Amino acid sequence: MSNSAAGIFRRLNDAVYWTGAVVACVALVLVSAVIPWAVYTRYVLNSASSWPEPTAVLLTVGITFIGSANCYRQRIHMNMTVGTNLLPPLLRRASLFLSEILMGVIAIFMVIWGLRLVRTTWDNSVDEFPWLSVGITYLPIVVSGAMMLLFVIERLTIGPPPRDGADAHVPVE
Amino acid sequence: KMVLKASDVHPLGYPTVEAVVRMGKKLETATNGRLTIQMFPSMQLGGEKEMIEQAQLGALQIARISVGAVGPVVDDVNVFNMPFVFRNSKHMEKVIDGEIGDELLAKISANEKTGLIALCWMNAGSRNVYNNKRPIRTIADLKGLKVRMMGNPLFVDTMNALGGNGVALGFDQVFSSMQTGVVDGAENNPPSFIAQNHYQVAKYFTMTEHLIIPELLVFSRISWQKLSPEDQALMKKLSKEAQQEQRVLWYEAENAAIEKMKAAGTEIITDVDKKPFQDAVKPVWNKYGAKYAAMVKRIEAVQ
Amino acid sequence: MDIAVLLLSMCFFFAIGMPIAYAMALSSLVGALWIDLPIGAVMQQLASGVGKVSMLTIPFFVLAGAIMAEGGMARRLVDFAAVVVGFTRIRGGLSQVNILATTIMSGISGSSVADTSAIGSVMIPQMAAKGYPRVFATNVTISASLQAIIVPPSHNSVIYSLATGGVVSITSLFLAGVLPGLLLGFSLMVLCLFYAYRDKHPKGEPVPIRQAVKMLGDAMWGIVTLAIVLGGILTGVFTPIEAGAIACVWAFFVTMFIYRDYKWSELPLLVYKTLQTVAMVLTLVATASCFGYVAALMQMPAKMTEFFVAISSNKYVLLMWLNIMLLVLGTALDLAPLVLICTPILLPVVKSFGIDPVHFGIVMLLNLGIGLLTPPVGTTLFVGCAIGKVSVDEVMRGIWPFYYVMFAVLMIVTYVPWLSLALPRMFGF
Ligand code: NA
Ligand code: NA
Repeated sequence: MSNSAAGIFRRLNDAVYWTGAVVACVALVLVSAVIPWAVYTRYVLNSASSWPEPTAVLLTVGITFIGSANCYRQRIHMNMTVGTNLLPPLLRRASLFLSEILMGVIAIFMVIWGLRLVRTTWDNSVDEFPWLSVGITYLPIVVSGAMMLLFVIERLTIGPPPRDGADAHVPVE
Repeated sequence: KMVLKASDVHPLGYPTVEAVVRMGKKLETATNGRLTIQMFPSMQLGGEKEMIEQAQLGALQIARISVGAVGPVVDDVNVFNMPFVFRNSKHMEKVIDGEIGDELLAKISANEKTGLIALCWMNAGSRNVYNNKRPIRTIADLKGLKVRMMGNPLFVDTMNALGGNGVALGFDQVFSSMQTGVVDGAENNPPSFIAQNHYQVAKYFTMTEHLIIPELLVFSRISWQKLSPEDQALMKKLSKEAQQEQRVLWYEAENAAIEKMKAAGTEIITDVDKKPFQDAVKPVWNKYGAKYAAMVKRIEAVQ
Repeated sequence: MDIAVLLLSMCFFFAIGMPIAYAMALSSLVGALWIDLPIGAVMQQLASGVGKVSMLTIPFFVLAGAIMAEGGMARRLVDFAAVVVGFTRIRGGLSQVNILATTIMSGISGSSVADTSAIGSVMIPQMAAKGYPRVFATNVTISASLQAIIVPPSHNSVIYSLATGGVVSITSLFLAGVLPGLLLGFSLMVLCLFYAYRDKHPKGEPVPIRQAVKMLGDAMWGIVTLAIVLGGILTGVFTPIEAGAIACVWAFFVTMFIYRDYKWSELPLLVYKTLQTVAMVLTLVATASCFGYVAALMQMPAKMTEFFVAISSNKYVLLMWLNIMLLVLGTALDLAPLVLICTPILLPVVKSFGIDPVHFGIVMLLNLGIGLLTPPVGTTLFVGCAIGKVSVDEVMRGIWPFYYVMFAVLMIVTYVPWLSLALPRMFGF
């Protein structure tokens, strides 16, 4: 790929990444606001509203899948390096290449079979929100798969982007 | 050789599960082992929503679901969700055994959007209010009680119309919410009351029978089309038998549950005058029931 | 055969360095194709695995923990512990301060890595300055941080609860973790006391009264979080989910309006970092649910039960085998994925032997927690070394007495179910 094409492709991926990040961050803040609101309505307004919990759940599914593709781009997902570290350099490179290809395979599955799932469940409606199609709630899988496919291609062609210091992500264990 | 996967949210031994297991044995005998049913009980494959989707995808063949699940596509079945639509369980059984029952099964099967073939009805008993505050003998006793209802706004409104506070909560949260006072009570049938250990946190159980909602046994449409017409006919015949067998199992389970409730010291209130309750839900009928008027007339006519 | 295809493909994907989460997803796809299952069903599990109400506690507790750790609450808890320990003038006082501060921090955060970095970055330099060996200070920090995983609130308990399919309630797991967590803290304190006399560690110094009062007052705001979360759940004011959300709001309020040493402009970055952690953990939950689904269709739980029944019919022997198996797996894999993979498979085994799933959950979390301190994959160990500015090799040479203590605690927790079950029983679970 020529330098300018690589630059454009990098910027495209950056744009996808940051759009996803901002949307997911806003959703995360909303989730953390919606549940306290439910507590407030129950104790202060004395009428329990039933929408906050299912709304928070749907938002969190969205956060998970968009965030997951972004985590892939930033190399944040946990993986085992014990096995690959034992290999001679050439084999190690081969196995890492294979693992990227397989990530692409998963991404393709997520797009194609995710879309089929969306179609199959299109006429079902969400229990708590009868106006909402179940199919829509599965769209994050498709979006995440498409984002990941883009990021896999990016890694295989122009290499991964520099990390943004996200090593310092909030610890889990 | 074909293995039909069946699933239920309830554990092995529960009437709906046992009925399908027995159906599987008959199926195996009738087809010399060509068709068998493999049961995945206790939500092993997910909750009801997941089961339906798996059946629609053809990943699962047989599922036991509630009518609410097909309601959005086949609205007619929602009539069973109306409070006090049946006089009692016997009345409900007459309706599902008769032409209304068959007609609704056919409607579900005929509608491609459901992705399901409706095999038969199953008895789920009647739902009754229980709580840990006070015995409910008259409608006035319900006043101000926070009662967990299923998520459908219709059910929440029903409780509100009865004078209580309907609270929509996940099924898995009911026990701890009752224990900690997030709600004062809930409503369900006696077997669930025992199986979910709710008897440990709710002392008063009133036979309000405000909801009598039968359930459905469905088959995946995709998988159905892979069966030969003979096998389809066999499945239908066995399902009809299962509908009757499950009923017997249900009453056994219900009686056993009531015995356990008595042994555990639950105060069971049976002598309730249902008339004031039925009158109180009139606003709910006005809000949700108008479109079912014709069907309700036919249901009422069933003796 | 089905099961071999599923497990071997997963091991292969692990070994070539694929992200663990996606290795689970891909092996589920391979398994699904092998048993001729529609792929859509695997996709469905991907979403429904995280689409559960109780799962909301995970983002909440991660976010609340992050706000508190970064917003200066950890430092104030250390001050609080220094006041409490200082007045006893105990030998090796700073080790005790370290452990006590971690215990309290564990009542707020659910992550041993968070505790290690929050408490370690304050305590290890202090201890080193007073003449404690850095390796020792690091080992105290990382082993004490295991309390975070079992002392409530803990999102790892939530992950276990999710993995049981909601059979075990979050509240009862929270309650069950209290005594084992305190036992671990106490045992480590005793070990440190032994070291203090053997190696002549300096005595603790009391904090001057005036300063002590101010420190206690400051720390109270943080300790109130404990009361909100646990008290709120136990009295029924909140569900665990709501308690998590309220803890976020409270931590935010205290950090921004009481302590005021965090800048508003830093908040978006905090949310961004939390998002990455949450997405990473929930991806594991999602893909593990695919794996569990395919495994269930292959009847893996039932076959696993048969296998263990064949080994022994005694539940104490079974618990020993499970502990050994988990310790081995824990050396090479992280806690969350192991909980998610093993729970659905082992739960039927455990139940058929009459072991309480709540008790087993605590055993498993403690066991896999120890795995976080072992190479080759030991997240807490590595973070501790980075913060203590010591090499993994050095730490490993000094860690064995700590391993012995942790193993002894694991055995006590395994064979004295009362420790885990007393509190849940008391509250009627
Ligand atoms: Na904790
Ligand atoms: Na390890």
